[in-house]
Amino acid sequence: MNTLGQDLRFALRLLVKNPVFAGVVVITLALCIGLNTAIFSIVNAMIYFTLPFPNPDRLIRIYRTSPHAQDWPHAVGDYLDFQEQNQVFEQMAAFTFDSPSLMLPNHLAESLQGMRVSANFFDLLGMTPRWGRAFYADENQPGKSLVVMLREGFWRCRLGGDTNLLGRTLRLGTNTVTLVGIVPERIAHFRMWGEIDVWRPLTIQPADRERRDPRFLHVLGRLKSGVSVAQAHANLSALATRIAEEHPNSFNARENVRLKTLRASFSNSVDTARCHLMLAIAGCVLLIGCVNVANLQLARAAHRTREMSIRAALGATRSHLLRQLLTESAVLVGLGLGGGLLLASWGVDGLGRFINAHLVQIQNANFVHFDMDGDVLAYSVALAVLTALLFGLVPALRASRPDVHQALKEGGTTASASHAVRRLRGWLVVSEVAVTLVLLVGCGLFGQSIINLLRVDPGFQTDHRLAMSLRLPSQEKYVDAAARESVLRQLLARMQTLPGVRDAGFAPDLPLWEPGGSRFFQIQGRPPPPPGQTMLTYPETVSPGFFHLLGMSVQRGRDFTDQDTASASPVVIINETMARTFWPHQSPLGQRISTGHSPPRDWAEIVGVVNDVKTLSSSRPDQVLARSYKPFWQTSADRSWLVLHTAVEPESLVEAVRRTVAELEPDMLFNRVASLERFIVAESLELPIIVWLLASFALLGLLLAALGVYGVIAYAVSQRTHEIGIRLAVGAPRGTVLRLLLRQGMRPVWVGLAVGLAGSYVLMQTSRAVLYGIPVWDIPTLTVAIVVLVMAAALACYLPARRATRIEPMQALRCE
Amino acid sequence: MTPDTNHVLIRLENIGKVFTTDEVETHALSGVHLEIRTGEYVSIAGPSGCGKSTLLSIIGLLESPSAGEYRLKGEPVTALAHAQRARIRNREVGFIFQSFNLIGDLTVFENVELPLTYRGLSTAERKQRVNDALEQVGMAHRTQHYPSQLSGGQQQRVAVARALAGKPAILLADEPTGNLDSRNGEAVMELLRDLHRGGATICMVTHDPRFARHADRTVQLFDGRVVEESITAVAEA
Repeated sequence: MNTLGQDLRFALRLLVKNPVFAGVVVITLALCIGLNTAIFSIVNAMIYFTLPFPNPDRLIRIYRTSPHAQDWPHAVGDYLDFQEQNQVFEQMAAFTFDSPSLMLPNHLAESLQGMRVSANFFDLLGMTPRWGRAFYADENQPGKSLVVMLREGFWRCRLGGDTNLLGRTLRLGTNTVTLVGIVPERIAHFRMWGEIDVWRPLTIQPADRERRDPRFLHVLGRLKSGVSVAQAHANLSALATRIAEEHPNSFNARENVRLKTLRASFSNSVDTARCHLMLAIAGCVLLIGCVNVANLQLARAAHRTREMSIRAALGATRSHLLRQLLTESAVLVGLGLGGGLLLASWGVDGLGRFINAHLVQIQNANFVHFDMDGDVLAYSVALAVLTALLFGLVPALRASRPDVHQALKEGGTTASASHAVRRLRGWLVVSEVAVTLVLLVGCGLFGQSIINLLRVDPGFQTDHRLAMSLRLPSQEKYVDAAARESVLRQLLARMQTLPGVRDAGFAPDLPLWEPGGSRFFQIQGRPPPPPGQTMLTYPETVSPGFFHLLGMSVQRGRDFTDQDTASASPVVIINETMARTFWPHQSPLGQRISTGHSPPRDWAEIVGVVNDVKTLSSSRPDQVLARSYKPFWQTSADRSWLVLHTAVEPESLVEAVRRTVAELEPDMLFNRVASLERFIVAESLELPIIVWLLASFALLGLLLAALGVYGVIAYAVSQRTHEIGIRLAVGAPRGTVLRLLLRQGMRPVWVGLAVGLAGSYVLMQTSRAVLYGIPVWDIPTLTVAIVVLVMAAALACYLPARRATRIEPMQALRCE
Repeated sequence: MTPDTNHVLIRLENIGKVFTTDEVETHALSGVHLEIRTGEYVSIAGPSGCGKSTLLSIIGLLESPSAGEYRLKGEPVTALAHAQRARIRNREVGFIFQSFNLIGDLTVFENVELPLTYRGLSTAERKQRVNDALEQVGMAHRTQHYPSQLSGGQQQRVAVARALAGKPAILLADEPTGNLDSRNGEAVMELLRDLHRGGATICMVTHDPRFARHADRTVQLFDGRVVEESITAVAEA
């Protein structure tokens, strides 16, 4: 410990005495570690987060699978069969999502994000309420479910955190419910279920006990101790097969189950791949930074040969010297780590605020947090240790083997770099250039892919469009579908005459999102598809004129009209993809399809074909879904999106719209109001963020690489000052010497480019799965990356070479 | 240190050293036989390039001989591993270099303490030894100075203190006056002579016959071979 303390003191003293060296190294490390920590904290929040429940590996999501889907929910009958007959789970629970309206005295109705859950839901998760209690088992029974639990943050924010409210009643829609418990805030991780405000018991009617349809229950279970996921899958799979045999006429016939850990169920492959790619790119920047610092350390080690030799002569073993040098590296990394954590903290905090600022208006949410938690700190420390080894070990290994006799005999304070050190430095340049090329190509490809995604024509127009979510109050007067239609028609008429509004329309979902679900359908007159094949469509609903409102075009047939009501013949409009897929050689107009369950009973005539729309959140927007649209007035919705086509700046109409809604129906829920452009931005918010991050990575990497090459070349040239003096003294033209230095300086750059080209090829091939619109060989990106890198390296070589050749020969000769 | 002139401290038998660079072999030493007894003061003299410093480096275990056998305190040390050589160097050898070789970023105290830290001594014992050594060379009043704040003569005194602090079996001095003016050179030589009188075993490389005469015995090297050994007049006196 004594010597460690001395090593530490000496290391600190060296840094103080060499502030420029220390500053450059610490800033480089702080930038690299900060960048990597920031990216990891985002990735950690996105895909590596820890579930806030005990033994989370035993929490399993159970999905229903079919030939065309892998992640579907369950019917009540199936869930109850699984729950009663499985032998592998301690408990199973079911849940669904809903959005009840909270009615507070003297407040407008407010839509909440909610879940309906089995009574054992919290017990299964291992979560006890912060205050109050969880649900009792009998509260899943009809008539006994008028109890509610609230999220702690919501309860504090909206109800003042008053514990006296426990046991008191609230109005949720038409129901008066009793608040029984407060759920700890940690359940609200944005990558899990989103920011759920309210939980209510899931009510299962006795009549539903044997129902195999509809499928709407999400199911999770806690494995018994010692049971593996594979064993659980085998058990549930056998149960699913038996259920299918017992119910041959249900959809169960071709279905099975799939199990995922709850943790894995919150990840998706595109996000995971993007996160890993970002981590890899940030890792490249770290590597470049490490190579730079290693270069500096090598140069410094050359100046410290004598010191190392003295220490060795006085009896320091190699491990003594290594420890001394690595302690110095550790001090540098420690300072870099501190700076990096500060930078990362600012960075992710700013990013979180930026994202929330874009989300809060349209999602009533403010819940994206990138915490610098224990995992992030552990990662940063591990990264710092790795960094210290990367940049410190090789120079330390070299410096710890000084030629003592030679160094002490020379007695000088500097030593010329040995051939081995020069070669090592050359390889560092090679690796730096290679990694930088891979980094630039990676950023270029990834950035180009994102820009391709952002440039995708969605198939509808977004400018001068205002969208808002509307919901009719759950009151007696709107139980009747005609009453609902009446008030919505009145609202539409008032909106269409509002100053500044060109047109208005309804649709339960906006086209920019992935459709909520798919349905099997049949074509009248055609036999059902053979087993293993299905015909799927993604049903939507729009009001008459909605296509025109969004700038879409009905390409064949007609649009919906006000006469397409519930009492009229059922009609449907399909998109081009659906028409092309299922009627490749004929017109679909006049054909009749049904999305009803067997036997088909609700045939609807295809009256039009509308252009395709693409969802921006998709990683493959070229894969267009087969959509079918039903007339809004043939459905019986109590909630919808209202979209206005405006002649003025859309969000300037928000107050007028709010007043109009309130005049017509004060209890109508009205929220998430924003321009369609803002929705688009929020929907693909991660994409421009990724582009900016990539641009930052590329710039930082390029800058570090250029500085690194400059440092190496400058040092190498300074070592050759005497030689340059001799050349000049014997009459060599300065241009010739300059070209010689440039040629020699660029030699490792060319080798690095060749290695980087090979690495780039591997990168292109391995990352194609997550890149959109990128060819096998992206020649433009490669060319730009190479040209930029060569120019930076050439400049880095040219500047020290030019300086060296401007020195007077006699001055250079005296440098020996 | 208690002189025991009957005990052979260092025995070199038929030592040779060949440096090989770029396929060129340079024979720095060949067939060198040398014995140094405990308490003896030996100088190695000869013209520049004759192998004096190489011989001292071999004695100090900084270099390994290409041929021959080297025994220190009767133990063969020719084929020891690096770590063992470093340990013996730390405990048995004290170096005094021509260019002082103090570490500029360490204080006088820390420079003298340095070899002791590699030995794992306690802080208290290190402090005691460092103070004793600095007292011995008359530099105890400069413990917190840095080498750059000292004159050449003072730096060499500190270097001698550093060599003494470990209480080594032998002091190896390589041209200890080479970087000093005559007055400071004389002072350092006087210091070495005092140490010798106190019982220290010293082996000094010098090309200056005036300083060689301070030793008991002078070994003359030429072209890597011992060509003459003589008892010096001072010693005889």
